[in-house]
This record gives sequence, structure tokens and C-alpha cells, in this order.
Amino acid sequence: MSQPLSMSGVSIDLKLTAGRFAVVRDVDLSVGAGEIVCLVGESGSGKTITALAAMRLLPRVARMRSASVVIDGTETRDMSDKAFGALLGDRVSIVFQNPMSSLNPVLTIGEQLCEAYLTHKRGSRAEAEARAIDLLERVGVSAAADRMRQYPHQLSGGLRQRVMIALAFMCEPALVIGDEPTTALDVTMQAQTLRLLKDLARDTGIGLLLITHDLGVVSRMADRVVVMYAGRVVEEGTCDEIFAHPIHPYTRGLVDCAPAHATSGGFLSIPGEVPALSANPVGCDFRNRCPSARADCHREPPMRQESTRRWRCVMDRETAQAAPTPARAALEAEG
Amino acid sequence: MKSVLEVENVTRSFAVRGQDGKPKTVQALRGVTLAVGANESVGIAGESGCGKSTLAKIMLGLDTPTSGEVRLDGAVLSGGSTRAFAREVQPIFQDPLGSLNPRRTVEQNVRLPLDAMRIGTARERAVRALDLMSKVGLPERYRHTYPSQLSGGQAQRVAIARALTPQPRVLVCDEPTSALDTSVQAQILNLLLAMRPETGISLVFITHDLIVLERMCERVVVMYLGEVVETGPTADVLAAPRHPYTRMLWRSSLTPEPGADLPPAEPGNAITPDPANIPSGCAFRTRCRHATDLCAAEAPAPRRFGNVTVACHYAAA
Amino acid sequence: MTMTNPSDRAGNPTLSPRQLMVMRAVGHKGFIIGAVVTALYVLMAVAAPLIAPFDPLDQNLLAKLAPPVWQDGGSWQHPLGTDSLGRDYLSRLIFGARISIMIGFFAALVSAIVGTSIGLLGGYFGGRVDALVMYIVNVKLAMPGLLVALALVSAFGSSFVTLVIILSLLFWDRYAIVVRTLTQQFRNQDFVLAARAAGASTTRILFRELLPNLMNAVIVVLTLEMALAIVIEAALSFLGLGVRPPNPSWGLMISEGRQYMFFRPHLVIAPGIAILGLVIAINVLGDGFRDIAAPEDRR
Repeated sequence: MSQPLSMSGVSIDLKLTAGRFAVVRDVDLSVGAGEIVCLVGESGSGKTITALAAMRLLPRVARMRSASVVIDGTETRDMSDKAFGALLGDRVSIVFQNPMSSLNPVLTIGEQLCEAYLTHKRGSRAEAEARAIDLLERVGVSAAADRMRQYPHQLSGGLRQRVMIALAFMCEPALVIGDEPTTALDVTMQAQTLRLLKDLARDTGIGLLLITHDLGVVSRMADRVVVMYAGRVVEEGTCDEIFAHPIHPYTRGLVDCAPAHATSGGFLSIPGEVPALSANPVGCDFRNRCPSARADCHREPPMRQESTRRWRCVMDRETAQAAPTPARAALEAEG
Repeated sequence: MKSVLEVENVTRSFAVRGQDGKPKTVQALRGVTLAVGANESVGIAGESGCGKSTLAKIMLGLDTPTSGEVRLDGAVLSGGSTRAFAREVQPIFQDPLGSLNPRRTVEQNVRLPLDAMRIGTARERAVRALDLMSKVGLPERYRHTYPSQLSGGQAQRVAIARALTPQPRVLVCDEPTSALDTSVQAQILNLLLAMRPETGISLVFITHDLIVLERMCERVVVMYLGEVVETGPTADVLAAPRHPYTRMLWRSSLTPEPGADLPPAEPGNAITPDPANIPSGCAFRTRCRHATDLCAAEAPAPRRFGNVTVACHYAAA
Repeated sequence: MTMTNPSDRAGNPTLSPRQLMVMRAVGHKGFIIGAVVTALYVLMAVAAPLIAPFDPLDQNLLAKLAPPVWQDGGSWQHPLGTDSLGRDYLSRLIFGARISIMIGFFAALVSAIVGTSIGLLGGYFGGRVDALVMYIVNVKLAMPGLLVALALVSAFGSSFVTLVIILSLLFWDRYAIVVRTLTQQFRNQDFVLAARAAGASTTRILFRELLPNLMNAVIVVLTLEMALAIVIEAALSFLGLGVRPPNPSWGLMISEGRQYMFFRPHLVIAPGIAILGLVIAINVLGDGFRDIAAPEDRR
């Protein structure tokens, strides 16, 4: 079985009124079969736009500079938009954050699910419906047969999101991308939906790329974690490695700041802010906030690699792990 | 202890038109009693449909309850006396950029309560605005900028500065950090924590995030579908939650623990019933794995267990 | 997709919304063209006494219907010839700009004030106030505007002030509807709630919180309605119900020139082009402004 996703050298520019900005730089990202990979970062990290780029869903002001995007074994770099359209929904599908606007309000749930299937597969309507009902039940939508005849507005936000997940799985894709799929949901519904998504991914053996900023979610979903900061990948490792032994100072900071149970004490944060977008960023983007910053951080930091771990820093593993964490109980956003 | 702000047995219903065009009644609040003392931090935990935002508006004087009383310093207030509320109770909303007037500068936004209530001279108001801007950590060079030039965290600081200008005694925060990045969240929460001893202000902190609430609030009130299901000192309630909903909420608050699993699947698809169609008896029974016929027949009365009050037929000590 | 707000490396806040708008304006061809042409017309109107070669009311019956410079017998003394009373046509054309622009602008302004106020009240208060507002708007929409204008002019005459008032009655509903809809959207936003919680009086909320946020939309409608007002004034004058002779309204000039159309076609074409040019310029300007003044959401 081929690898669901392999992206390398992805760079994306944005052309805005205020100028041209490099918003994603040189990102390598892959998802293996049966693997759950979490792409973590805060807003401004470029995680969402990277995933959108993989699916050619970029906004018009964005330009991806030639990169290799291999989906389910097929190199898509030189594919026409029309040929690529055949892949969307069939080999790769995406679950968006907002359940309100992702479903067509004038079609029933059943119609939308079946349409997805019939567009890409050669099968009868009956087969499509049977599969739809099966998937709806597996994502925890009770009375699935009845739900098929309902319209999106008759369902609550949480149920709509589950329908979106079922929709993503209809054509048995190799890769499912979830862009903060549960962030807009209530927290109890979020936990339930994640559970269903995880079970479904494991059962079907697909690759799941989950984009999130929530480390709690990451720790319970991910096999592998890719951390992004200011448009670049700064660290990658297995879930256990990242949480127990983070290397890059930013990852250290993130892990330290994620609130654990405590009844008192302030909240930790990494002082400073994500650097502004610019056309030609130079050196390590984290150096303004890094307690270990030194002179050579003004030059491009190398991507270091040790078996399954990768990190983009001038420090080697021992130095980085012994260095102080950037997390502070700080109040000030900036000096 | 004398409370600064209290609501007693407050209900609020809305008459709306359903999707089928027929009128229906949404019961946002069904008898909530809550008191906030001086220099106290009370957390209101709940998800959508529990009525927390409606409660917030009532506490701010922006809405009038259908029945029940709102009291400020013991005196009963009606929703019409916005000025009495405005001097003592101020809001922080969830969407930082949406809560600022996009066509006014930061300074003008911060000064709003003083300008609106004509407190002090123009010069005094400007001084106070700058003073508060620095207290919330916003550099002076942002004075004449517009909200669209600010990040979410900066905008929320402006909102906090604005709320503090009239020196209120209660700050009602409705999910103040939910729309912010984690590290910015931490900064804002630390700011609120640091402010308390300095100003003696009370906090009503509405959130669905029990992990944050644990550290911010001495007391917690858990709400579900317009009612209080459990309340008490935060440490006591969260150490051993008695109400099944509190337990569910607690388990769903995911701390980073690699290897830990997600909470178990729940019956009822985790759907909160429509507030226009609240289940009979105990409203939570449709999602509760321990529900019995009694739960459908009778609404549970609140019972005390030490410092904690719970509304469940089967809550045990 | 969220993006961090661009700020420079020193952490200073970036371009203000006003600066961004100016940047967009400079890059928008339509806006620039519309603005320049409209400005030229306005300049022409303002400087009329300085640039017009003759007094527009000066009759010279010995030189009536003189040909324009491009026909036989024409001269540069009267580049556009003269009309049936020997008045220099070019001067009349230049002074005509004053009438069109003044009437158009004031009519649009008055209806903006009336319509915006009505829309604000209906949108903010809802309920019975809004029902009343919508009732009035619907009544207005049901009326055949131009016919009513004609009837009113016949009844009340056509002095400058009367014309402005009558024309403004034709347009206020567009403002009312736009403002009402926008107000309904804004009134539920958190910053309005925050203003109420800050103790702001209703008047303050309407005029200092809501109105500034509506101004861009109102200005767009204003420019477009002004163009319409100019056309309707010309139409009324053409029908003899607008500006009275001997005033040089372009519509009136077209009407007066009709009888001589076959051998002095420019008498009809020149004012026609003048109207066309101004109206198109204002329309393009208004469209451009709408593009530029897009909401500032950078979230």
C-alpha cells in the first residue's frame, strides 16, 4: 500500500495589499498508511495553509512554489487542475473546521453522501446509500436511515460535523485531512467526535493528518507529531518523544505551557509573539523568544535528523535538551 | 459575607419562531441562583445551550429576567437601570476584535465608559485611559491605532482596559480566552489573576474549560440547560465531581498526557437537547449512562454534601 | 484561516485602515479615473465665471444659431456656436455644470440624511418602530417616483430649493434599506453590547457607535444616487418642469435645441455628452469607492 501523503519542499507566498509575504517555507511532511499525524502550531504557523496547499484549495492570493506533493503514490505536481479534481474526495478528503458552512443547505444528507460516492466510484445508488448509512452509524449518528432524508439545518453542529466525517470517508480515501475538525464544537462533543474519528481511522487503515493547536488532543490522537512555527517545520517525532523529550526550544515551550491540572499558580507562556510576516525572512524565526539564542542564529538553522526525529536548530540534541525552557509565567506580551 | 452581585431564582425564556414557522419557547434559564462576593472569583462552567451567556447579560444589566431578582449590593435592580450596572459590572467578551468599535482608536475604545457616563474631565479621562493601557501591558504607541491593526491578544487587553476604566467591582468574562492562542491565553489569564489583588475586583468567569477554571476560580457553578447542576468550592467539586455532567465535562478536558486515551463513548450521541424542548424530569438524563425512570419522572432537587450542592437523584457522599 | 497581524520587526503597529485604503485607492484605476473626471467637472462648475468666454445669459440676436467651429462659417469666438437667442453655447455648457452638480449633490445629501436616520431607527429598535419604517419604505417603493416628481413640480413650482426637496424625496429609500440592514447586523455585535454595558445612551450608540461604521456604505449609495439625481434633473428640465429658462440647465438646453437638431445637431449632442460624462464618472467613482472601502477584516 502506498504512502497516503508525501509533501516535500512546499513553499507558499501570499500577495497582499501590503506586499508579498512568505507564509510557508520549505515544508516536508508525510503520512504513512494507518498512521495518525498531528500537525501542531499556533495561528500564524502556516499549518492550515500547508494542508490546503496539498489539496490545491489555496485562496487566490496564495501561490505555492513548485513542490512535490505525492498523494497515494501519485505525484501531483504536474497534474492539471482537472486531473487533480478527480483525486479530491476520492483519494484524499478534508474535514473543515466549520460545520455550519461545509454542507450544502439545499441537499439532504443522503444526497450529499451519495453524490460524493457516485461521482468517483462506479456503483449503484443502492450501494452508495448502504455505505452512507453504515458510515453514519460508525460515526455515531443514531437513526441513520432517517437522518439521510434530513437537511443540514435540521442537525446540530456536532451532528453536522459527524456527517462531514462520514462524507470524508465515503470513497475510501487513502488520506483524510482534518483541519481543526473539532475546535468549533462543545468540549464534550469534541472528545466524543475525536474518539470516533480515531476509531474509524484505525479500522479503515487510512492515513489521517490532523491539524490542531491543542496539545491535549495531540497527545491522545497522534502517532507522530510535526511542529510548525512561522511557516517552517521546527520539529518532528513520535508522540511520546515529543512530549517526554522535546528538543526544539519552541516545542519545549509549548509542552511546558500546556496547562495541566493545578489549583493555583499562574499560567505559563512563551514571552513575545510570532514574528511578523515578511518577504525575505532571515535566520531562525524563534530567536527573539529563545533563551538560548546566540550569534549564529542569524543564519539559516540546519534541519538536524536522528532516526525518526527531526529538528531545525543550531543546537544538537544534548545541548537543546539541557537548555532552559522559554516558558515563563509572564504577563507582558512584548517589551 | 455580603455579596456584591447576586441573582436569585432567575428564569429567562424567549419566544421564537421555529424552523417550521411555529412559535416555540426557548428556556434559556430555569431558576438560577448565584451570589458573587467581594474579591471573589466564581467560575461558571458549561457548554452551549446551558444559558451562561444569557446569565452574563442579565448580570450586566443588558437583559431582564422573565422572573427572579437581580441585586447589586443588596438592592434590587431592573434591567432598565443600565447606568447603575455600568459603574459596577463590566464585561469581557469572547471575540476580542468584535468587542471593539472598528472605527475608533484604541484610546477611544478604552475611554468609552468614561465618555458614555461623563465621568471626569476630558483630560482626566485621557490620563486614565493611558494609565490602564500601561497596566494591561499595551505600549503607548498603540494609542491611535485601530482594532484591525491589533492581534487577538492585544485586542483583549484593550477590552480589559476598557472594562476597568470606571472602576467596577465585578468583571463578567464570557469565555475571554477561547478565541485566543494558547500562549496568548496564558498572558491574558495571568493578567486577570494579577489584577485581582490590586483592584479587589470580583470575577465571574464563564468557560467550558475546567482546566483553566481550576486555576482561576475559588468557586465553581456547573450549568446544564439553564440550571445549576453542581456548585461548590472548585477544589472540592473537581477533586470528586458528583454530578454525571460535571464528571463528563472533567473527563473531556484533555490535558496533554501521551498514552492516555480519549473519554469513553457516551449514549445519546453527546447531543445537548434543544433548549426549546427540554427533557422532562432531569434534563441531563438523555446523556446519562445511569438514567432511570425516576430521572424522567422527577426533576432532582439540589442536595448538600458538605460544601458542595448537587442536583442529582443518585449523587452520593 | 487566521493570520497574525503584520507588524514591523520593531513591533510597531502597521498601516492603519486609512493608510491601507489610500493604498488601495491609488491602485484602483476606476476610482482614479472617476475621481479625476468628476473633479474636472466640479472645477469647471466652480471656475465657471473665470473660464467661460461669455455670460451665459447674454443674448445677441444678430448672431443667433451661429455654427460651431468645425462647420463652415464657424469661428473660435464661439467654439460651440450660439443658440437660438445668440447666447454662447460653450459658456452655457460650462455654467450648466453648476446646476447639475449643485442640484444632484444637495438632493443626494438631503435624502442621505433622511434615509439614514430612518434606517438607523428601524434597524436598531426593531419591533413596532421597524414595522412603521418598513411600511413607509414600502409605500415609497410602490410609488412611481418620476410621475410623483412631475406632479409635485407642477404643484409647487421649480425653484432651486423646491427641486432639491422634490428630488430628495425620490431617493431616500435606498439609504434607508441599506442602513437598516447594516444596523441590524451591527446591533448584535459585541462592541455594541459593550457600549450598552458601558452606560452609553441610545443616542450615543446610534450616532457614535453605529453610524461611523455605516458611513462607507452610505457614501457609496450617495455617489450613485447623485448620478441618478443629475439625470432626473436633466429629464425634468427637458420636460420643462425643472429649471426654468433662461438658466442653462443641460436638460433644458437639449429641449431648446431639439427643433434645430437636423442642421445644428451639436446643440443636442453637446449637453447630452456633458450629462453622460458626468454621470458615468460619478458611477465609476462610486463603484471604485465601494471596492476600496471594503470592510477591514484582517482576521
